[in-house]
Amino acid sequence: MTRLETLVGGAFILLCVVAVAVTRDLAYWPAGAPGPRFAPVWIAGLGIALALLMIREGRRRAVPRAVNWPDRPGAVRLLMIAAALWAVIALSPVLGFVAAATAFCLAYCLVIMRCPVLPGLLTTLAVLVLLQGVFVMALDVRLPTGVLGF
Amino acid sequence: MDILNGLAGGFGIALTPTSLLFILVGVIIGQIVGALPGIGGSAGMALLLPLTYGMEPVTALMMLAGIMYGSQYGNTLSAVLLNVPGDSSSVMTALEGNMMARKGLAGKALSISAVASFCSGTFAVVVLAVATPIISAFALKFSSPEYFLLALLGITATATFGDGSTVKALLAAVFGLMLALVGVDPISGLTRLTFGSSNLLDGIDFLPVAIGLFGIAEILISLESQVRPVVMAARLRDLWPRAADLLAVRWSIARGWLVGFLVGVMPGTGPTVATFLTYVTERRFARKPQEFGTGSPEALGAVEASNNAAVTGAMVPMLSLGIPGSASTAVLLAAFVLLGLRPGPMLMVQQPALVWGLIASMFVGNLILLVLNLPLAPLFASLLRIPYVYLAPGILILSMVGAYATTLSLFTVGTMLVFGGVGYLMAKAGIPRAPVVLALVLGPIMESALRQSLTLSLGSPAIFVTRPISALLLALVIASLALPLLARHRARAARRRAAAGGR
Repeated sequence: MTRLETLVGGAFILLCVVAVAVTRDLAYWPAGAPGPRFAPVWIAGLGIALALLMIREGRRRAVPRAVNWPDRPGAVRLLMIAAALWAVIALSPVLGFVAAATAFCLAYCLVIMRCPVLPGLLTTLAVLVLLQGVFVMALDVRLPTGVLGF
Repeated sequence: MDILNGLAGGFGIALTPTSLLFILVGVIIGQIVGALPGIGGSAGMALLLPLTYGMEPVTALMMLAGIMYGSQYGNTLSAVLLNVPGDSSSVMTALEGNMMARKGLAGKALSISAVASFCSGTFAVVVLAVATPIISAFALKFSSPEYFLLALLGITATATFGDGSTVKALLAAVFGLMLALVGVDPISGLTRLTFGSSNLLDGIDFLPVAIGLFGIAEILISLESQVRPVVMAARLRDLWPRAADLLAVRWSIARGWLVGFLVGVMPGTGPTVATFLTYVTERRFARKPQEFGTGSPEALGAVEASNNAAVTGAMVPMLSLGIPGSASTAVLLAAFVLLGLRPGPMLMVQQPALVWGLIASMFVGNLILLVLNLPLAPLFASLLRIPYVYLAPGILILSMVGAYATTLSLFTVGTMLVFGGVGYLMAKAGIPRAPVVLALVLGPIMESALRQSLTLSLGSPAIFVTRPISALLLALVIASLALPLLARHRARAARRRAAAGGR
C-alpha cells in the first residue's frame, strides 16, 4: 500500500532530521578523529536516502501492495488490548503489578474477547498462579507493589 | 586431539544433573514456543532471558540454546498439523508436511521431520565443534577495521539475502543502528539522543525491543481474527519411523544439511533463506520432483534438515567472531553480554570450558528432542488445541514481567509496548524486523570499531582497503549489496523479455 509506505517513510525521515538536529551541539570530527556526532549524521543521511527510496519504490509499483488490515471489530479489539496493556503500566504503582495484571486478564477475557465466564476466570487464575508462583515466589522477581501490599 | 579433549570436557559439564535439567527445560520450552503460532524461538529466548539472572553462565546458555534449536522442532508441529508455520523458516515444512497430513500421513511427516532434524542438528554440532576453534584462532588476527566490516557484513547480508524488499530491510537495519546510538557515546562518554530522560542514559535495552518486535507484535497480529485452526490428528503408532521411509530420504537429508549449514554459517542469512534455497536445490536432485508441492517426503526431509543445520551453523560466526547470524543468535549474543561474557575469538581462549560445555549440550539437547518428538508429539500437539485466545493473556503478562525484570523499571515495559506497536506497523508495511534487532546488537560494536579504525588511520578510510583481510571483507560487503540487486535486475529483464516474446 503506497500510503502506508509513504507514511512510514515520512515518519522515518522526520526521525532522522530530529536525530541530526538534537546532536548539533556534539562534535563531529574533533582532533582529527570521528566524534560523537559522526555516526548520527551518517546513519541519519543513510536513513533519509533509504526512506526516499522506499517511498519511490511504493509509488512506482504497478499494483499496490495489499495490506491485510483487521476488520472493524478486530481493530477495536486490538486498540482495547493496547489500552489495557498501557493501563497495567499506569495502575501498577497504585494497585501493584499482580493486581493490575489480574484486572487486565479479567478485562481481556470477559470484556474484550467476550470469552465464556468459566474459561475466562480459569485463564485469569492460571496467569495469577504463574505470576505469583513462578516469578514472585520461585524466582524472587520484585514486581511493583501497591496500596494492597502485593 | 584438542577438539576431542575439549569436547570430552564439555560432556563432563553437559552431563551433570543440573545441566541436564536445564537442557531439558530449554528444549521443552523451545518445543512449546516453536509449536505455538505467534511466538518463535527468538521471542521465547528474549522472554526467558531475564530468568537466567543469577544462574551459572554455562547453565543459562545451555538452556537458551536449547530454546533456540528446540523451537525448530516445535515449528514443525504447527506447520504439519495446523498448516501454520511457527516462523518463516517453516513455510516449506508447512507446504509439504501439511499436504502429507491431509493424505493421512501426519505421523510419517512428523517422524521424518524429527529424524531429519536430529541427524542434521547432531552433524551440524560436530562441524561446529571443529570449525569454531579454527575460525577463532584465525580471527585473533582481526583488529578494529575487520570487526567493523564483519559487523557491517552481518547487517547487509541480513538485509539483502532476506525475502522481500532490500530497501525496506536496509531501512530496518538503519532504524536499529539509530536506536543503538541512544545513550552514552562509547568513546567520549557524552550523552546522545536521550532527550533529557535519565531512563535513556543506559541506551535502549535490547530485550524490550526484541520482545516488543517479535512477541507483542505477533500476538497482536494473531488476535486480529478469532478463527480457530483445525488441528490434524497424529496417532502414536504412526510416529515410529520406518527404515524404508528414512532410507528413501537419506540423500535429501544430507543435501538439506549441506545447504543449510553453509547458508547458516554466512553472517546474516539464517534458516529462512536456507530452507528456500534447499527446496529449490532439492527439486533438481530429488528422485520424485513431481511430488513437490503435493506432500513430498524428500522435500520435507531436506527442508527440516536444512533449517536445523542453519540454526546450528549460525552459531559458528557468533561463537568464533562475536557476530550473530540471525535474530536468535542475536538474542544469544545479548545473553552472553548480560552474563558478563563477550563472544568472539578470545572466548575460546578465555572460556574454553563454557564453549565446549555449550557445544556438548547441543548434542545432548538434540538427542532429548528426538526422544521427545517421536513418542510425545501427540502430547505437544494437544497444546495446539487450546484456543489461542486463552494463551495470549499469559504470554502478554509474561512479556511484561520479562521486560520489567531486565531493569526493574516500568519504563522498560512501556518501551516494550511501544516496540510492539512499531513491530505491528512494520509487519503491515512489509518491513522485516530481524535487521532492527541485529543492528541494535551490532551497532555499538560497529561504531566503536569504525571510530577506532579512523583514529588509527588519522581519518583515512584507506585503512579498510590496505589491510588484506579488511579488503576481502569490504569486497564481501559490496557483493552482499550488489549480488541480490543484480539478481533482481536479471529477473526483471527476463520477465520483460518473456513478456515481449509473448506478444
